[in-house]
Amino acid sequence: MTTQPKHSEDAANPASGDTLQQPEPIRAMQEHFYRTGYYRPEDVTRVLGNPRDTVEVTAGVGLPAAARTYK
Amino acid sequence: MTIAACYISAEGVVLGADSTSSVMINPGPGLVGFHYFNHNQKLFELGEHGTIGILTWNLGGLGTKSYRTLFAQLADDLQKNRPTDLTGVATRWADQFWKDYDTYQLVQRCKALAAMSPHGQPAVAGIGQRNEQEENEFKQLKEGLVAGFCLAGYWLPDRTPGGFTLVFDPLAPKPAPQALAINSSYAWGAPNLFRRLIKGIDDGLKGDILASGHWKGAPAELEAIVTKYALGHAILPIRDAVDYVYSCIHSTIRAMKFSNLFQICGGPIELAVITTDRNFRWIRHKTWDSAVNEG
Repeated sequence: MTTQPKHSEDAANPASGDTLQQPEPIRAMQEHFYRTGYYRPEDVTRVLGNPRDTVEVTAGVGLPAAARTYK
Repeated sequence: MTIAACYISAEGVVLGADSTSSVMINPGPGLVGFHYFNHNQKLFELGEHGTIGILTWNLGGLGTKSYRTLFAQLADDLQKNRPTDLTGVATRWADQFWKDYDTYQLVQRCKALAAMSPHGQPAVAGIGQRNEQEENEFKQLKEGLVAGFCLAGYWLPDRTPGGFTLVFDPLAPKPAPQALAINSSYAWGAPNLFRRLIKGIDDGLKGDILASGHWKGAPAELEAIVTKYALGHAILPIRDAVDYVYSCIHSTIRAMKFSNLFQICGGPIELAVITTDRNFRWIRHKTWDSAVNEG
């Protein structure tokens, strides 16, 4: 039989996945969004990536070289 | 935020994109936000009965000049003055778009802000300094004005499929077309999500590990570890390439939907194929009343 950890136990474990106890960078990102209405460009780039980047995957190539990116 | 993908196969080219566009709104003094529309078009046929498709990502247009109009003008120009190959088509687009892009009011504004010294750092004699509001505006413009394009298909009399990508940056010179390789897939817009899916890691996380001070090996050693977990793909038949392009976009949309971020991509996924023996064909294309039907 398992028991669910209480929220107070999750407070020290940012990896618990409890949405009430998000890691600080995520919390700061969300706080900025709700305060201003937009995500900070650095947050968008960190989570989604740079719009200048291309992700290229070439078929039929050995795995170590199969996935590469270029700007 | 666009999710766009392309597969260059020996049988032809598959192109795909989502349909959500983000429009910045100002509901009141000092307030800013984004409104999301789910029926934008980011995949276009170049001309009518053509052999080239165009994908767009990031910047959605140039204010009073839509991509739809600009692509139509490009098609007119190609008909009047036909280039000899696909490279010529991509170069023609670079030249045409650059004229309007470089003079676009917001690009000019971005350049003017870039010429000032950054907010929060020691002022530089002789040039103005961005205040806090201008610094935020500059950061938004620098990323938001990046305009990406993929032109792919074939150009008669040569039926060899190929493609080019062009990324316009408000603070960079006019780009040269970058050729795409055959039997390869490409993804743009939110590259990190796709990188994590295929490579198991994104470049930002790799950089943070290397910069953390805890990684004692060389960057190449970290690279050797992460590439053991990379997926690749086989050379795909064209219909499976359609499934692959669709799945790349769909999985990214779903990753956003289930994340702690607002869903900034989505809507219907549009797909098109240009096989080497036929013209541009839509596989999935929104009807003109799709927004009406959404309710």
